[in-house]
Amino acid sequence: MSPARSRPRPVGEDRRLLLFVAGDEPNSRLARANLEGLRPSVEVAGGTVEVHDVLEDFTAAMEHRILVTPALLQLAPGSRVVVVGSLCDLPAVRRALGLPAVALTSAKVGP
Amino acid sequence: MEEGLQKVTDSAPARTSEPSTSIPKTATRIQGLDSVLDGGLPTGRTTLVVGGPGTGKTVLALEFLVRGAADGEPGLFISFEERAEALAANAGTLGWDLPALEAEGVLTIVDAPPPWPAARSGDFDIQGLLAIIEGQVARLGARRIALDSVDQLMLAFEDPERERAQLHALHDWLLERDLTTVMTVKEGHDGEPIYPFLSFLADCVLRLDQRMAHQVRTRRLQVVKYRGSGFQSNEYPYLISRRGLVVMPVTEAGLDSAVTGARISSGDRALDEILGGGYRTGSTALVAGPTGVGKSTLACLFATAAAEDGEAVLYVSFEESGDALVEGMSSVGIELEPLLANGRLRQLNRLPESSGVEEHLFEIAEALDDSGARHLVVDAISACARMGSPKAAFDFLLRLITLAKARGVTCLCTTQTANGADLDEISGIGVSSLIDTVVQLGYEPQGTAMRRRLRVVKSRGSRHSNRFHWLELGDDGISLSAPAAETGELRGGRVAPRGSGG
Repeated sequence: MSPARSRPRPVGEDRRLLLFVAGDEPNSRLARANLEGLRPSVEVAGGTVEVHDVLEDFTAAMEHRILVTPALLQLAPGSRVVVVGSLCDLPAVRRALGLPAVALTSAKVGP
Repeated sequence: MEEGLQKVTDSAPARTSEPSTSIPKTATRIQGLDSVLDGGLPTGRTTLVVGGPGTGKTVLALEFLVRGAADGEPGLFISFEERAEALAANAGTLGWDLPALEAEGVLTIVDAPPPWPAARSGDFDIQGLLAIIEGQVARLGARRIALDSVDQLMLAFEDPERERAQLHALHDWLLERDLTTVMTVKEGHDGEPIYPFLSFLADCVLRLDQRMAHQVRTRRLQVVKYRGSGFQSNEYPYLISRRGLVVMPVTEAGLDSAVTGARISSGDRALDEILGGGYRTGSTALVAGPTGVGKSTLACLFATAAAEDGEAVLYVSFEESGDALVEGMSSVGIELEPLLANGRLRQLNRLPESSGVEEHLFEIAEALDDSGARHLVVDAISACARMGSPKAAFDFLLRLITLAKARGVTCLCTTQTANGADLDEISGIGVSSLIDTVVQLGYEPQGTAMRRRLRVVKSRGSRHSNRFHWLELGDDGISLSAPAAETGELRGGRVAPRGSGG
């Protein structure tokens, strides 16, 4: 498979980001904060961002087969991408999700 | 059938209420396994099942839950490897209806197989998994859980230290919740465990092994460790049957059985006299001798006499086809065909190298179950050496003979030996102590010809003759007579069926 084909295509308004966290656990806290750095890029294109706390409701994690937290799931027609961790390297996260490599805010938090 | 097989492999019923050890146990009801585990898996603790690909780890883990679910104890299966649909399809071939059990609310399958994730950025842990387990356990009221296989889950971490930390956390979390857990993990290519520390954490460790010996596959289960409990520590043959895993421990009950059964005819009056009244019901006899001397003839005399008396007989042949045996016996006046036709005599003809010890044992046990046979002929056990190795042959015969004894099945085996073989050779594959009666056949030069001779080497519980006797094979069976130098009188002839007035 060529690099061009393996890269997630721009999905615009169909993009759905779901962040799975485990309560107030440190990595989950960092991931919530780092998610804010992605939110403008997603929402400006008509996409949505959701946060699911597995300690409050495990069903979404089960439905989407998410076993580790924090984990960011991007859903779009024909595309499913999972990024695990506290999302501390936002440029790398953007690349994985196919988001524009433009930092709209300086929201990076954590190491 | 299943219940019958339980008798084969699990002569001592699984003890669930009063195990002999101090820790509480949960019976797996996997055939034969609870005997090896001295009651079952440790309740509320983790059992590790390690093994290479294709050894049946998933089957064992799933069967533990399925049998629990059938008994009304809900279970949760987390698959890190297979999709739920594939798992259900595979389970269906073993007669397990996973969707039905899920619909009944006694089983839940959660699947989360790789590939995932696409990228890593920062630290993470298995809280998502624990939340799912916690939620499902509460929803189901589950006490049993299987994790298959954790090495796949660990692929997400790509760091031995983090993997170790997560597995420690997982083990402790399960222990705190008092869940009876089966955790499977693959072995490395070199047979070494991928996560050696898991064996130290787990309270019970089972190892499944699959190996080839002389082109014959054989599978062995071993309990490597069982904290706080006794267990049988040897390796045990096992197979994946049409109904699940079957482990084959030695049925120790058979070793205790005394040779006190009623007399049963050898099929020839003179031989009965030489034996001190015939064989004993439930005993094991061995007819040993060189090729062509008449071992199968004696075996068929025994088989036909029992079958003609209305008894069911199973004849296992490792050397001849069914047709060849029928034709060969017809030449000495022993007609097998009518008995095969009416179903009293059943043949099972197999090449020893056609499958492993466990498959042979299981097939014979099934045939005994299906036919209800109380008489078994195995012709010839010397061929069992071709089941892969001398150890495999020993495993087979030990289990077969103890199985027969435990069931009260009268067993007659033949074995090929060199002419004039001494007792050490007759003991052959090393099971002589389990044999109650030994009939030795041989050739002796008489001028320019060779004559057959017969001697009863031993016959437990009988006052048998210890002399050599001439043995003749004729058109109408066998005839036995004392050697010319002796004066003993023997009135030979085929034994007539009971009630025939013969």
